[in-house]
Amino acid sequence: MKILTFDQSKCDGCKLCQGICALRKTSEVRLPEARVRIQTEPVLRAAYCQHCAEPACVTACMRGIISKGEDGRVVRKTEDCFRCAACAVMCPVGAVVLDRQENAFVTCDLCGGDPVCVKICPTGALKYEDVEETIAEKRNSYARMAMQDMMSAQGMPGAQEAAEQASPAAALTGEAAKVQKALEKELLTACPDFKQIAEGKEAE
Amino acid sequence: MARPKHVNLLIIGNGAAGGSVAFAARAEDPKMSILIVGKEPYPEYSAPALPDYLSGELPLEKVIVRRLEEYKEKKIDLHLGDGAAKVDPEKKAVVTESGKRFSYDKLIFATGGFPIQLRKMPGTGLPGNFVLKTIDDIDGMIAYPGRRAVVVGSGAIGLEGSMALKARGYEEVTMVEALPWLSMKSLDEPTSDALTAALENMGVTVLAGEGVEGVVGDDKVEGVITSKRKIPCDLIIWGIGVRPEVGLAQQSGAELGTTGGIKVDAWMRTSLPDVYACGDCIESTDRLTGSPALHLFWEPAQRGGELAGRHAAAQLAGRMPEGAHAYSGSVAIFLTHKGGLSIVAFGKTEAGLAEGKGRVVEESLSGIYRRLLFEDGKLVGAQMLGTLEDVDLLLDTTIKNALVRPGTWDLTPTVPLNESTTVADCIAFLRKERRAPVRR
Repeated sequence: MKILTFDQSKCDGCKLCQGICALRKTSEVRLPEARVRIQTEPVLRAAYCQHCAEPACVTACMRGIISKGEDGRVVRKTEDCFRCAACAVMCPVGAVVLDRQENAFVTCDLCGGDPVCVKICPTGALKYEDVEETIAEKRNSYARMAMQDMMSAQGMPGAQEAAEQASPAAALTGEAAKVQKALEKELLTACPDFKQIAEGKEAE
Repeated sequence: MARPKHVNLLIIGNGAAGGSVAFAARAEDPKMSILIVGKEPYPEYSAPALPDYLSGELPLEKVIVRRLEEYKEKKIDLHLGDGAAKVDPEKKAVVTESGKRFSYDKLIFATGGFPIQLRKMPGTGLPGNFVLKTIDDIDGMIAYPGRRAVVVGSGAIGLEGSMALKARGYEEVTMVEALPWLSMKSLDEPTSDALTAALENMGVTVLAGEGVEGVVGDDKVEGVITSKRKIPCDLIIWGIGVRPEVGLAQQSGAELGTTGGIKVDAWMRTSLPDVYACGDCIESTDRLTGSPALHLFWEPAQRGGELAGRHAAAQLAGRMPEGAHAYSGSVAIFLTHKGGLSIVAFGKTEAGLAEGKGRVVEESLSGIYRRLLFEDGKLVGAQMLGTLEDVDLLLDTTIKNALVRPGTWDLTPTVPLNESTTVADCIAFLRKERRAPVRR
């Protein structure tokens, strides 16, 4: 199973992912309703459905319309949502948003296996990856971070190099770069003020 | 007498817990026979959605959680409209109200709860007295002619019942609460004040601090007498609390806890061999206090039901349920989110704060009221009206803080509080300190 992954060290906080998600899912750029949301203050963070192993939303749902499919994805029958908000309250990562158009609480559905937010991400911070590999990678990156912390705390040489190694710059090339540019253009055409909005408080 | 019909797993009760047991057990074992015995004639439905059925917003079929075909598809047998009357745990047998007999390998009590009714108070037996618990209760109210209502109690049923009747077209809806303010177990007075304003805005009259002393009427309800006045009305909803339904379990000899719910272990097993219990009828453990508690909520019923079903099914096959985690208790969350009203509260109220350590930070801004409660800088509770923003962060922090026990390594954030600290400051600090979320 593949899930969305977010690498904080690569994200520059542009919120293009949030913008395109809102545009595609609600046909307007209402940023608070995007299913992937980037918080820049006070720390950079991405809120989106993790398709948890034991999803709190599934047991919280008072209508029994959220389930974890055999492929591991959390799915919702949004047409039967009566907006009790229990899933939104119980979700430990704040991934649930109220979609005014669908009149239902919703989460990231991975765009049916082709997430547009990943394609618009100019820095490679958002990825669509195999969950097992991701877990292994996260574990390694936490270990690297802990090592860097320790090295810098003890004034050991090489901490800077380790940090750079951990987060290689990732510029998009070829077809991916073209797709990214096209999506960015689509978003900025639909919402010319996107950059100002993305910087403002109302983005949350 | 005919031999009783034998089933591997017999579930008494067809609410959220009973349904979860059956479907989880089926997922665990494709072969065993599963039977649900239910008092009501309906397949599982969502009791929390009933106010929306009362208001007219949802049709009956949208309240149903599982359609009959789903039970059939999973080979889960239903015996509905005929509740269990007697359980013999030694013979492993159950007799229903109509005299139908079953025997079982594993039994589950998922008998739910019952609304408290003041049968001794004069007038409470008259037509026009209602509770809000089942589909039949709602159908009764829909069929009953009325335009003025009194709703007694200010918990979730009181709030949602009042709003539903208003939305249904009742001209006058009065909510009466005997305690000094609304939902006193979950809310502080300023939160109650903000909630009162929101309700009054929706056309509900709110009277707190006056108890109902009687119901007047000759052959039907004509009014309610409180300690301060008489309120003329056609219909009354009694929303004064729900208690666990433990009669059957008690008769069978299952041990009850100090709170009056059925005592269960971490796999939802009762004191009787091969008998489990889950849902509103059990005594849970409050994760925030570590003490036994009655948590008659949907989420623990669903989760406890799944666990009971998986464990019972796995045990029948002579194994443990793979990857299942023992029941960790539950958190009481006061939540109403409907008809333009949104209120959520959890954790300690001001009255419960440790002496000399407590601190409240609050903020009221254009229809939104937020109140955070701290003990020595640790978040121990939150109440918010008109917004759900950052509720995940606040709930997560509250649970984590509560899980710290003396002698454990405390990594939870201590919010630096001074005279001018605002709610936004607290949230910004907690966001910054956020670590991986706790498992719910």
